[in-house]
Amino acid sequence: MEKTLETNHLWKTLRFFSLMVTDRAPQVWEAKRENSSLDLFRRGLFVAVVVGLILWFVYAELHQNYPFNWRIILKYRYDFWVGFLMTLKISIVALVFSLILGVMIGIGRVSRRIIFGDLAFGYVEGIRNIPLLVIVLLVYFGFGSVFPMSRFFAGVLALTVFQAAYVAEIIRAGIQSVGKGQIWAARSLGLSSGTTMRHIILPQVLRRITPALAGQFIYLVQGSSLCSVISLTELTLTARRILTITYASMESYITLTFLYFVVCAVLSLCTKLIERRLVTE
Amino acid sequence: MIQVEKINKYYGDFQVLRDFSLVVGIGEVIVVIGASGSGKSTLLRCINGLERLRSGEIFVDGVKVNDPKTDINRLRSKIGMVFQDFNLFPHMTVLKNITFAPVKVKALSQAEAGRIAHSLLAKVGIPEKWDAYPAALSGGQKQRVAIARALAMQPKAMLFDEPTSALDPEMIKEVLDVMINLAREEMTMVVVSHEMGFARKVADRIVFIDEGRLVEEAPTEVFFENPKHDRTKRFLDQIL
Amino acid sequence: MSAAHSLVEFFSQMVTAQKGESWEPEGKVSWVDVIRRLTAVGIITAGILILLYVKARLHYTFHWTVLVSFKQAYWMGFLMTMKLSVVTLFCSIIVGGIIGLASVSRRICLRDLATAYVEGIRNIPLLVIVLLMYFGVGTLLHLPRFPAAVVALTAFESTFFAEIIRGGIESIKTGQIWAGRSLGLSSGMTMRHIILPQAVRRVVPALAGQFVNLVKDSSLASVISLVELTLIARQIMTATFAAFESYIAIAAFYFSVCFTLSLLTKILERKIPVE
Repeated sequence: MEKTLETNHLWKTLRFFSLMVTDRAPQVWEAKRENSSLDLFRRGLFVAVVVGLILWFVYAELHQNYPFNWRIILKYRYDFWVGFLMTLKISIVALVFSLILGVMIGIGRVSRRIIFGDLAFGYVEGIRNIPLLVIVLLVYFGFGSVFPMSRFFAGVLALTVFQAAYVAEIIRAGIQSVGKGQIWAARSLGLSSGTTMRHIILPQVLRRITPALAGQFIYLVQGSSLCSVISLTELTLTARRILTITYASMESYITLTFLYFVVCAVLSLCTKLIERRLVTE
Repeated sequence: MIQVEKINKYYGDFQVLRDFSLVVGIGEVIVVIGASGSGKSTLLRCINGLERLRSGEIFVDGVKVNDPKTDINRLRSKIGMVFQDFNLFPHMTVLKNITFAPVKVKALSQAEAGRIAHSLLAKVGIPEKWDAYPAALSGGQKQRVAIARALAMQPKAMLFDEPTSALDPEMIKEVLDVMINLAREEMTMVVVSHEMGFARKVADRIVFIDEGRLVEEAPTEVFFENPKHDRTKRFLDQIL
Repeated sequence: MSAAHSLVEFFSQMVTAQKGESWEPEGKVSWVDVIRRLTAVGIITAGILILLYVKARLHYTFHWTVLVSFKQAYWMGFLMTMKLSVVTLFCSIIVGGIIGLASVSRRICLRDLATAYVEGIRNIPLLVIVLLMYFGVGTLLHLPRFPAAVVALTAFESTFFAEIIRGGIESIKTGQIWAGRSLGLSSGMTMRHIILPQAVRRVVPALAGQFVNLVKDSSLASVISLVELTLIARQIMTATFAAFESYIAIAAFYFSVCFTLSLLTKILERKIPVE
């Protein structure tokens, strides 16, 4: 009796997976359908199982040559927490300042005064063509040797300067996407250019760019990992310090990867939720 | 030739065709008219299997279209389709547009396909444009190339989805002339169009669709002189 | 006196110049305008830099000759950066292409797996991926530096290429697929001969843009001591303590390379006819 139950289960799971593998949308152009939540669950389950199998296989392979010692990570969980808080701190502070700077540059970019547009363009192009790592190093070791500054300050400054360029572009694109029609309508009613910008354009722009700006926060969290090269004790450096003490390199890095993944995935989900809220309004 | 039997088509929850049935005989020219959104284009795409049915059946030349076991590619090479926005392949010359499918699907040699292409281009009136790219052609020329491309497969039936709706008025005539010639050559045609003059000249039957349902179907003269249903009368009043 | 006067006038004119409707993208500008505006920006930037430089000189002695004496090292670093970038580009396009094709497949499970790959890797900072690859997986498999860097960078960049290719394929009008299929072409033939040629042509500028990002991201290989441009700068810094000069030099290097590539991309964009 027991045997047949087991084989029954096996059959059911095999059938489930063969169904999942052969499941096809009817035609390519019909592929985008809204799926029921049961569908999504099945698909999620399938992906989870495949990814899980791959990871498990890799882990088993590694485990043969390397004794995993997870208890060490547990021992240092306080340090991980502190590092995580520092990462958050850097990201939030940098976000605030880069938004302020970025908005100023973005508006400058579309300004009527040609000189502002050109200077803003120069700034954006200049920053965007230099890697973030180089900016971080330049600010801390370079400018830092001329105008001494703390590690935190250097990290935040580098991130701010870098992100501001991207924020400026988002804002510029947002302003230009509102469209000439709105401006024509406002100006032909007699509104001045400043009033038009403040009351007509910017409110619409803010609604459009919120998802993009949320995405910037995720970039900042990832960018903060680069502050580890200037010995700022955020998450990545914490992991590296721990592994130099304990020699538990794989465990450290896997934990690090996992932590970043969870944080960024949660932020991405929030971004998508915000996007959906804004679209349905 | 074409038998549509009680088909129902949905886009999600929205029903686009309701219990629609139609029979098209060999050599017949059917013109389908109706308001926008009434399901005319969807009907054509169902006939050559580009759209799937919720229920009902369609047979073309005896082959069941919506049967998953049918070799749909072979069936489609027997039906030609012409689209409202031409859908020429922009990265190929006119000649390649026309010869591509015959070479790939029917395994004709490049030379033979080329011969057929040139003769078709002459037939639609633009033999000199064979090495041009679609971007260089006018709307009317593009549509004539599209017709030649469909004819190159030597189909048994042709489907036209509002072939002249995207054209400027002065180019409509050149395309309609090609279609009239085709009709005179006894090609089986199902045409969705608003061109009533064309319909009166060559159509054997007119079909009126409203909200996915076949409202009225009659031989051309009878249809225009004596429309039976109120909705038909109102629609004709609007467009004539 | 009048020369100075006209200079001041020129400058004030540049500062106050305005254009018509600001929020529209600019139209074509004449060469004269470009030169005049470049001069204005140049003067202002130079002014700011000179001010900073003068103030900085009070605290710090600049040793610009350092750059000249390490010419060879900079050149080697630059070559390695380019080598890394090109190899990664090649690998990422292949991997990204496969993932991109999978994400438009009719098989729903393929699409989901492709999404899982892209989302999974994109939620991890590149630095962490590089570290994981070299110090983590690398020590177990004894991966040397260059391959480890290539694998890590490929994994990360391929997600972007996958998205670009997917976007290109999805941007082709459905009518093209209908036209191909209604002629009797099979699904595979339609993709190969009709959709992909058009899609690839469309995304070439985006691919080039991503290459620029790739060059920038290659700087992260320095953390695993791969001898590319950024690492050279750090080594020079530790050797000579001329941190500022060293890093400014590589910033300028990266800027020139990336800016040139961006310019080439824009020219490429113009050459490809938009359909």
